[in-house]
Order: sequence, then structure tokens, then C-alpha cells
Amino acid sequence: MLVRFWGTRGSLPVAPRARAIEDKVVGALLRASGRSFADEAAARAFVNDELSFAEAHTYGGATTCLEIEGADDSFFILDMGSGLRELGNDAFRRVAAGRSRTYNFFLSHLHWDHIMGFPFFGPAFDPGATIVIHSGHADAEEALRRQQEEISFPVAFDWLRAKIEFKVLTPGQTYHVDGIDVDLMPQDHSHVSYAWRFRRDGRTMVFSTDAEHRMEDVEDKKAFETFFDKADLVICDTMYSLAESITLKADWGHSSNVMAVNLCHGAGAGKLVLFHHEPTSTDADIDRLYDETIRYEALSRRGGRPLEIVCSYDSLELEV
Amino acid sequence: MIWSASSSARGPIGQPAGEIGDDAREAFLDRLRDGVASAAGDGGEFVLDLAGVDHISAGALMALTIARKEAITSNVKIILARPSPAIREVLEISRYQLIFDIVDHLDPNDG
Repeated sequence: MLVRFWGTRGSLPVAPRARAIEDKVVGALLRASGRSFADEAAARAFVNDELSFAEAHTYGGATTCLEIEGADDSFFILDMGSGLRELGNDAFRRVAAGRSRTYNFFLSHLHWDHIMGFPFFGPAFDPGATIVIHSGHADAEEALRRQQEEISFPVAFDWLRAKIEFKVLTPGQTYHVDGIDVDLMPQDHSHVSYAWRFRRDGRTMVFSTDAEHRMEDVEDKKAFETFFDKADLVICDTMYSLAESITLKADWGHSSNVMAVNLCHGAGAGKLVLFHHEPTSTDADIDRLYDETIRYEALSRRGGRPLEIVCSYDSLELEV
Repeated sequence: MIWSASSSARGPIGQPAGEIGDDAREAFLDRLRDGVASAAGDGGEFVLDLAGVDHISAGALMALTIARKEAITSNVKIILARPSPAIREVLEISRYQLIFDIVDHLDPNDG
């Protein structure tokens, strides 16, 4: 399986302002310090090899949307945040090259930032497309219809031309969807959210966003360590610092890099992906979060299986 | 987990030593609760002297979090004193410097 990240930001889409781009260009010019580059390849090598990620790139600002490549035929799409718009555009390119027009969606939950991309998902207007929306929520259809009511949006849900089907899945059961085994578990979040686990050919990836892990809740820890058990890749909500998650932002439904590392260590997972970035965080802030998480993992490992840490950004692709 | 107790100008001191592993979480929490209870009648500060601690586990951070919550209701402040550079790093990555006072000396008049 391959995971492609179309949106990694939490809560609200963000975009860098003019000054942020200016700062990156100025910083790169200063780091180049008068050097000249023979060609574009040499310039790119400098940018990619000598500048930090935040100096040379951006983590992006689209809200939650991921894609899994590896089903037998269909698209697998996790959540419908604002990143879904670009995925839809790219899907047209792939469909034109012969790809199936079946789209299997899996929803963590129905909050605005996780469904706002659906009205902009081009394939929903394709009469030859089939869209199957899997959710743990029985009210998923209501949520999607409601955001396209006239008071919120000019294009009604019923004007979409694709064949759209809703399936409510039950935690604890394993479903076989187009060659991939899928199961889900409820998480602590307003109106509940669901973690999803995808398994194929002995490889496992877990998508666990918008989940609050309360430090005193030992049962929650056990349940997630079981769900993450030996996973090759776990994508976790690391929106806040540990201190924030237990004080000012307690009960807001999110978690921290420290808790994510602890759960992945307990589960013996192979790779943790930092995800659902705080919208107020700059690229430099996210670079720091990444560095600190790598350091915390090393300090807290104590002889256990090393956990690789990856920080997600819009357009990242990871093999599972 | 090794634990001893003493006092300073700040108030009662708890002095764990060695590793505070996940398996010591409940014992650590009990000790913290005892310290907070003694500080409640003694000026409102409980000092946790971390100078002898080599490793602090996720479970120990959890115990600190629970004790802090309970201490607030008893109007007691938990002070984390003399962490090693590695322990301080763990605390700062967790942003615990924003919710605990982390100090380099047991006595407020030192340093």
C-alpha cells in the first residue's frame, strides 16, 4: 500500500501569507551566500539538501484528506477535508488514463474540517462515478446533505451526478473492501470519531485522527495499543503539546506528540506519522515539533523497537 | 522506585531516585499525593526533587499530570526541582514548563 497525503492541517485550512514566502526566499538567498548554480538541478540540490524543510518548503494548509493506493481497483480516500479538491482533480487525470471510477471513502467523523472538501470533489459530478461512503456514523448522509443546503452552499447535494451510497460500519468487525481488510474503533472526540485500520498482504496502516487520549485513562491506552499493535504505519493526531492537551485545550478532542509516541511504543509500531497540524503553527513550528518528537522517541524508547517518526505534509507519499 | 522525603524553605520535598518506570506509576502517584497532602497544611508548595532520577516514563508523566490536577483543588503547587538535562528535555518537549515551575535549586534563596 502507498499513502498519499492531500491535506494534513487540523481544524481550518490555512495558506501562507506573502511575508512568509518572502521570508523563505530571503532566508534561502542568505544561506546561498552569493553562490551561483550551474543549472536548475544544482539549485534544487541546494534547496533540498542544504535547507531545512521549513526553509525550503511548506507543510501545507489543506485539511484532512488522505488516499491509499493498493486496493484492487478503486480509489480509497480517508476523510473529505479541503485536500479532497485537489485529489478530485488528480483523479480525473488518472481516470482519463484508464483508472476505475469507483471511490471508497472512509470517514473519521463529520466535523466541518473533515467534510468541507466534498462539495468541491469533481468526480461527484461525474454520472459514471460510483461513490461509497463508509462511516461509523449513522448520520453521515445528513451531515453531507446539510453542508450543501442553500443557506451554506449554492449546489445542492441532489445535484451531484455520481451514484452515491452510504454504508455504516460497526466497530469490532472486519470488512473486506476491494482487497483490503478494514476495521474501525471509536475514539474520544465530540460526536465520536473513528480510527481506521487497513491491512493487506501482511502490512498494516492505522489512521487515527481527532482523538483525545486522557493520560489517566488506562483502558483507553490498552485499547489503542491493541488497535495499533505491530502496525507498520500509524497516523496520529499530534495537534497539541502534552501540556496544552491536559490544560487549556483539555476536552477539545485532540492529542499530543508525546502521547502518540507512547502509544506507538506500547504497540510496537514501526512508524509514526505526525498529523493534523495546528492551524496557528508556522512551518518552523512544525519543524520544531518534528525534531522534538524524534528526540522524545529516543529518550523514551528504553531498548524497545525503534519507532521511526515522519512529519506529514500536503503531497507526502509513504510506502506502507 | 526509590523514594525519600525531606523538607526545605519551599515546603515538603519528595526525592525519587533511579528510574520511574511505567510499572511504578501507581506507587509514584501515591507518593505525590502524600506530598501534596502534606503541603496542603504547610504553605502550599510540594517540591519534587528530580536530581536522582535517571529516567521518567510515560506513566510517570501521567502520574505527575494527575497529581497536578488534584493539587490544584487542594491549592497546592507542585514544583519540579533539579531535573537532569535529559529529564528537563522530556519535560520541555511536553511543555511542562508551562504548567509546572521547574527550578534548579531546592531552596529559593540559592542560585
